[in-house]
Amino acid sequence: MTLIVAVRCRDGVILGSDSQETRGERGRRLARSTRKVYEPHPGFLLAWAGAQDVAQGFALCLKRANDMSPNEDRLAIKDRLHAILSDVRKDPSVEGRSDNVEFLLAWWSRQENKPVALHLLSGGAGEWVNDWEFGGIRLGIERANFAVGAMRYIDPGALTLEQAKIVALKVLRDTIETSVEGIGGRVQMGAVRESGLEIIEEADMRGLHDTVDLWETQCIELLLGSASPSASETPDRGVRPPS
Amino acid sequence: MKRRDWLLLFAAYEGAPDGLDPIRFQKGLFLFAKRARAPERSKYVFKPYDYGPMSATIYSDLDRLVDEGLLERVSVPGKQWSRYKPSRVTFREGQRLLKQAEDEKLLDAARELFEIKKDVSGMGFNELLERVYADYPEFAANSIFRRSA
Repeated sequence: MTLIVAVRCRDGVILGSDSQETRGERGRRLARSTRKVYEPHPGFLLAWAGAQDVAQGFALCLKRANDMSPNEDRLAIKDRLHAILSDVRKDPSVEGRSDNVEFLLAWWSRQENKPVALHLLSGGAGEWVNDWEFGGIRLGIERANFAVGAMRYIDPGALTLEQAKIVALKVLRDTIETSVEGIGGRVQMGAVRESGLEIIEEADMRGLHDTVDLWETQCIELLLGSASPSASETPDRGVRPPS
Repeated sequence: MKRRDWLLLFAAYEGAPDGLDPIRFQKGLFLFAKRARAPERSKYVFKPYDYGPMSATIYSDLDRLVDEGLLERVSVPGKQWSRYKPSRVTFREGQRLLKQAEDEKLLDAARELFEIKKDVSGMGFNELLERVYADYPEFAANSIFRRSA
């Protein structure tokens, strides 16, 4: 399983996930890394959790839906997405087509001139994302909700997209660190803003992780004061220039 | 002296025997780029980022210095970032780089870098960011950490 996250902020939507794919029976599970956040169709960002074959089938159909565009009415888009998922789940060539799968989809609605995100479930339900939304393994969702609750003083609607990336990354990191079975690996993220979609590449994730570390360290400094590296008691054998 | 040489010399200088986090490397080399009288080609290029000035090349050069055995990567409990710690090899290379700086008539720049290392190693992050943002507000433009005016 997986943990997928969506957060709507002032000027966009962030989608994120862990990167672990788990297969096999409980106690004999194999984990490997897989991509869970990507752009299957121009203008649409997707994160998936659950049965990989169904997710891939859905993404492939979405990719082929040439006439689909974020310029359309969002209710029409929602209906199209439901229809695509329904077709995939009836397709006998898709292995495990009846297994549970869910998606978070985000795009910039040109008609409404605002970011929108949809939580699409395999049972046929679909919910619009207002602030935070999670999908995936139940225990992971509970932990992620707890992580958000610990930062309930932060209103996602007041955050810029860059700030929302950091808050979403912190929620994903904190959840992954609780070692829920089936969730793990590196964090993947993407963003939707008016100017387009962004898949955050590995090299850029490093800078975001450092920003979260810096944020947490500043919180520690606020409470405990700063501990500068030069205050170390380790003997200093460093060099110095001639005066 | 190349950019990477200044980065390694920064690590080799006294002031942080347990090593430094990537943010202090970023800020130190940024201040060097702004203050030191050294050829521009030997300075990193920075962009305004989430935490102020940032050069992606510093990240890759730190990785390379670790791969080459010139720095040690030390994990930090509870954090994703690592500290980059100097070793005996780092100090030996530091001495060689100081000699090279002298040969290239760049000792003043090397002294400036030393003062910067002392500064960034001697303060907490809040103070470090406040100073950089105050002196170079154009590099705070994309910072996610809002500062009071």
